[in-house]
Amino acid sequence: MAGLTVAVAGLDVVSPVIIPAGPGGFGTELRERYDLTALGAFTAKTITPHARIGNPPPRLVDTGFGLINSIGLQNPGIVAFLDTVYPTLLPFPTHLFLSIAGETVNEFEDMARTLAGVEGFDLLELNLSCPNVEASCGVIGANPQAVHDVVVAVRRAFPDRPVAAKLPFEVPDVAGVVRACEQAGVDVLALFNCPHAARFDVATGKPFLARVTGGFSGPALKPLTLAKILAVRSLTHLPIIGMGGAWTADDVLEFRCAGADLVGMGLHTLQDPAEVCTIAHEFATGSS
Amino acid sequence: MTDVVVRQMSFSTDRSLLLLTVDWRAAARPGQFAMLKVGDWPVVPRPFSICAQDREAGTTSFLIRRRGLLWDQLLRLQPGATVQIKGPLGNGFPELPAPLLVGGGCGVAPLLFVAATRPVAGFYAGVASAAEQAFLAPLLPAGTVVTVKPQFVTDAFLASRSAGPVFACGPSSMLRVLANRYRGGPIWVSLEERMACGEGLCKGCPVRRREGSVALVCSDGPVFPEGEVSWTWQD
Ligand SMILES: Cc1cc2nc3c(=O)[nH]c(=O)nc-3n(C[C@H](O)[C@H](O)[C@H](O)COP(=O)(O)O)c2cc1C
Repeated sequence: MAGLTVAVAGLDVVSPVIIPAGPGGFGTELRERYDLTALGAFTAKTITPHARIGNPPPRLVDTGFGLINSIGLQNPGIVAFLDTVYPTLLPFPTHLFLSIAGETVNEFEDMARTLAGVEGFDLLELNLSCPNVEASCGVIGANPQAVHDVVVAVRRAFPDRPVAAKLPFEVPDVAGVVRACEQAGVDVLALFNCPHAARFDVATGKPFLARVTGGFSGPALKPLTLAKILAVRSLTHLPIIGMGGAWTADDVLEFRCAGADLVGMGLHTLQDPAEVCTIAHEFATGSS
Repeated sequence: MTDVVVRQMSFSTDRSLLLLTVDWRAAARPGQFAMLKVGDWPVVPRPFSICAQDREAGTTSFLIRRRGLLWDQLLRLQPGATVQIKGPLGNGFPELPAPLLVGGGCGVAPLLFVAATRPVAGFYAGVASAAEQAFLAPLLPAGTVVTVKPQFVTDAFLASRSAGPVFACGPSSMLRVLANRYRGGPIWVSLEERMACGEGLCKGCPVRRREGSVALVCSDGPVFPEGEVSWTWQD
């Protein structure tokens, strides 16, 4: 396969294959155990203003061609993350993206201001779309005005590096949200977070997940994601990180046909990080 | 994940248990597990405790209960087929000599591996049916006390008035009974939880610690000193 270097928001990316926020954890383990140099980028799991213990188990249920997860943004909070986790990541072997989620404009703005003073990462992703929390950060991304307000505040506090907005799969007014992103100064769209999904145990009639519904990801999602990326591509020239069902090298090409510039592999990373790095390497500049 | 070849498969007569032996020689400690997957479907692998390793033959065995989507795929396998494996993963049991072993259902799997590596002070195994009892009999060391549902393995163990360190694996209801009633020594429990990555990445298999923090069964466990576990999440 030909090398496929992509320039996105001013970053030279060695391969279009990236690891999206969550499935690869915060990066400490991956960085120790796998050669990540051929990846276009790695996104650390979403961090929040305060520590979150996450949702009670079961947090996972298998669906055959996918997985429903209900992690609930388990993370140590931004302060502990920066003190104890972040130093173990540097220098990171490829572009490092950080992902944040807050419940209010102020929370996003405060985190962005803190991170503006932190060296060593290349892009700030705003998780406007976690399906697994009750708080408002799960729905901000569906509301054009809320998206606009968060992004304007973040841009003000974090002026020097690119900002990505990660949008929910289910958005009634996609055109409105994309326009809000453009106007407020988003550099990259991350499309999409996991759609809501559920499974029930027929023996008991009860849901498998403690919180009943979770976020769906995996190969079954690919054609649905592609249609939605195509729709957004027709609305904007912003670079797109496509994700939701990409598993193989051919999938990466297919996502690019639909309009994605970079492609995230979530579930594949979670089950076999080495294989994702191999796929990334196939596209990386200089390999054959 | 690595491709490995299936060497041997045997089922209990009621086809509720499978002993799967594969050509895999990665050196594991008792209590560790591996993620297994068959072909492309289901895409998410499942964790199984390592039940036995034969260093000379270069094989590893897993005891698998009929459950979930993977089972139908396992039924289609024949010796010579390929499965995918990732591991060994997790911490394993401590190196204590002569522990007492208490296992329920597939929870006997890691304990069989313990018993193969050191003398044990006693082995108590609870099974669901006479068919399972007959299937496991040749694998269990001489002197093992086996209870069959509706008998509880914990009743048999507690009635024995044994004392000493215990290694336990099985449903959380069973582990809780032990934790509440056994006073003869420390207990190490091997927890079961749904997993996806098996190596601490996805945060899918949490366990609450008594002090309030959240540990992961895959990478902080699966073996925990019982006193560390808050059972609030493990029902
Ligand atoms: C276990 C798991 C945890 C996730 N955690 C986050 C997260 O913390 N923040 C976020 O923006 N997305 C999270 N996601 C969504 C992924 O970033 C990504 O959108 C999705 O996995 C892509 O689909 P794929 O898994 O089919 O590749 C998570 C996904 C999974 C499977």
